[in-house]
Amino acid sequence: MRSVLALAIALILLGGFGPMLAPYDPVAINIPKRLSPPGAEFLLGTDALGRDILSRLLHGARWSLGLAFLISLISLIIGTAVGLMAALGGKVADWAVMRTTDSFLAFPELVAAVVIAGLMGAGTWSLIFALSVTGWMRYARVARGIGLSLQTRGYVVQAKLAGMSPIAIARWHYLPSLLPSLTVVWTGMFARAILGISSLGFLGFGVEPPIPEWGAMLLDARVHMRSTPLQMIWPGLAVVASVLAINVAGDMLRDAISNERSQS
Amino acid sequence: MSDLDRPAIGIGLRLLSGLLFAGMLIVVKAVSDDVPLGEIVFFRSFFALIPLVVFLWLRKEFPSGLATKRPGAHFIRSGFGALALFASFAAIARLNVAEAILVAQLTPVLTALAAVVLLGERLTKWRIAGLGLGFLGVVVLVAPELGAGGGSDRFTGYLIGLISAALAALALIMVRSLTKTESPGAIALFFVLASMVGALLTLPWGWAQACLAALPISR
Repeated sequence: MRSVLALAIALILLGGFGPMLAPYDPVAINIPKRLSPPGAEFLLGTDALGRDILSRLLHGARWSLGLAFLISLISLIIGTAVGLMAALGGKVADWAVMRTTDSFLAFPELVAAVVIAGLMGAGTWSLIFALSVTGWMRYARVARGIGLSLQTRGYVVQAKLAGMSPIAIARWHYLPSLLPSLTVVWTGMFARAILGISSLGFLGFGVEPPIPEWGAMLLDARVHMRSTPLQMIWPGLAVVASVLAINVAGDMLRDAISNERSQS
Repeated sequence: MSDLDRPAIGIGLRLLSGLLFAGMLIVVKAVSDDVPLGEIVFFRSFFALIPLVVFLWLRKEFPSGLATKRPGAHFIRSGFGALALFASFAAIARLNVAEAILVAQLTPVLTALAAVVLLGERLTKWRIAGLGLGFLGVVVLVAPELGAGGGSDRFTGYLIGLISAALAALALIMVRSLTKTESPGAIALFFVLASMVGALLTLPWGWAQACLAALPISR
């Protein structure tokens, strides 16, 4: 549990203060120093336009991690609302909502995101929209599943008999039971969002250049992959490390929660 | 049929391990003229990390098996191991691969000595004789090379090789004490991570833009 907290704090610090640690302006072009190897002047070297890779990575952390946080949060809200609607709305609503969710799930996530981002044109907002629209279904399924299991609980039945509105029941009786499971799902989706942003960035549908985003950095570096592969290693390493770390943290969180449940 | 009943697979894997290890040393030697030591160590560890994580994941030891109650011991073991890795690659850069391997053969001798000093193992007559014989064996093979000239660089190489063997021996002693409470996967993983971090610290002294052209084969 402690390591999960430490990781969360580290990521927040990286997103918040990372750019302040950057030794150079991430978009400052310095052609004479282009494609420098790592050294004392540029710790991780420079890219094809002579921009310092370390500075770009640190600034990119805010974009990659921040956008992933935003996207996973938007999907969390949409998915929870949809799932609760299915659980509380009766048989017809349940059927309609869950078939919609299934149809969304049937599309390969990344392909759908590429199509949406492509139709809307490359840009930060279309990136957020594309990844949120394709990322909410898991939350909906989890929320509905737990919601249905709560339906026959005494306190829920009593609340219904007392005339509480479905929205109030959802707020006061469903959400507290949902939150632990949804948090675990959220860590997985957070990691997937980082991957999604980087993938779309790599395919050219990401944030507008010259914003330093990890996937876009990979795309820029790809051209020079054969002569200067180190350039590609750093953003790749950043993506792998953060995705792995968040997934591991999510697993630990799940174990901790299920331990607590089995003890109580 | 249990896994223990299939010696052919065991022998095959052991041979494969030896081949791959030899291949690694050859490549390390080949790139050591153009690529700084820290960079070699980093990528050696980086690519070791990938199969290691996959292996641990398949055995369901990742990440739960990595939790440790003895971070300090891991730190010391990984430090010794990483320094030994640095030193052995540095020795390979200055010597022929065969010579570097010969010096590295001192590791078991030194491990036995360190076990006597640090773990309080008993030193019998036979063991002293065995250790002496092992040491003599290395000296016999190395001594003619020492006189063969080549200047101080070769001497430094032998010295670094010796230091590497000593560090590796200390790391092995630590591993022995760690295995009582820690899983082998965790020990290996922390070592690789420590090597990577140590190698990254050499960034300010400059890395080369490594590419295929650094390998002599493509010249």
